[in-house]
Amino acid sequence: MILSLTCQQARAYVSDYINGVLDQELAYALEEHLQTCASCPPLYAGLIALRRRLHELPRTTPSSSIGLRIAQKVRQALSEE
Amino acid sequence: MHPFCPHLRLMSMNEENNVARRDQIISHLVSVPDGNDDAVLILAAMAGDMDAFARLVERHTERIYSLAIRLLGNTDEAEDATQEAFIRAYSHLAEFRNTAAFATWLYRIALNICRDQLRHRQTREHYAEMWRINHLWNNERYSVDPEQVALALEDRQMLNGALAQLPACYRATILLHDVDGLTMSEVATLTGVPLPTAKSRLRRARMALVTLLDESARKGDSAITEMNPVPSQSRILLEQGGAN
Repeated sequence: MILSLTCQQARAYVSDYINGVLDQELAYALEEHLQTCASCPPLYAGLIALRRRLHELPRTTPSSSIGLRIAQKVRQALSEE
Repeated sequence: MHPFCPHLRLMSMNEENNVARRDQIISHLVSVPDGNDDAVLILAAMAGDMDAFARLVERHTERIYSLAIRLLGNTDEAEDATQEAFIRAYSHLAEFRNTAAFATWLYRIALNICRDQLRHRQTREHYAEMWRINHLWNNERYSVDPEQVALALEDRQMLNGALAQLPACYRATILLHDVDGLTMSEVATLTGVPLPTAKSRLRRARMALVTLLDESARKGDSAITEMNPVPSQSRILLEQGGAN
């Protein structure tokens, strides 16, 4: 028998579900809830879109000049001490 | 307790494991260069050779800065934290023993500085906003318009604005996991909290961003509506009174 979740419970579990780490029984219950609830599916769609967009963002890589700039700053700060 | 120095507390096995695990994650995150190349420079710097220390700074800055920007999410603060890490390292150079692990030692210093900054950056306003959003998500009639969220996500300014409204520790958690692809266990170790806390922060950060983006897009909608009165497509069930 599939568990029945309230909206509050479903929203508490949805982040783990998106990460693929939710217990299987709870995952089924969450999927069942998403098929019958009016307010949770748009929230779920929003979370999925958010995660997809964040995955697409470029990872921050420092410019090659930063090493030199910070070395100069550190040298200046240490010589002032 | 240390057997000869009672005021010194020895690290428990668990703490030692945590330190080893953290160092492993740091090494994985940033490719640690060969420590042998650092050894000569460190010895010279210990003898007061500032040029040698400057070369060490140049060698390690990019890696330290990468770590700082992952955690702080802000270039100016990441730069300040990187600078502070080197100054602190120089002041404590005499305490450094193992030349092969200089990079890891340095990363630990940077990590502590970033964590301190994360703690100081939390404001009551940030937490009040998180509380407001959490309260919304606890209402079963609350929902958003996913199309509005998707539109807001395409607007880099809106996305950055929403990220800036998160408390720093929540922002660091979601950036490390959803942008940089670190596992939650790695995020927990780097941010210095237990795994359940890191997972809770990720959940709340995601919820908050969806709400903030939906609200930003709707504010944009209302500005357009004033110029071109088309009925809003908003599906905010809370306002309409229909829900499960």
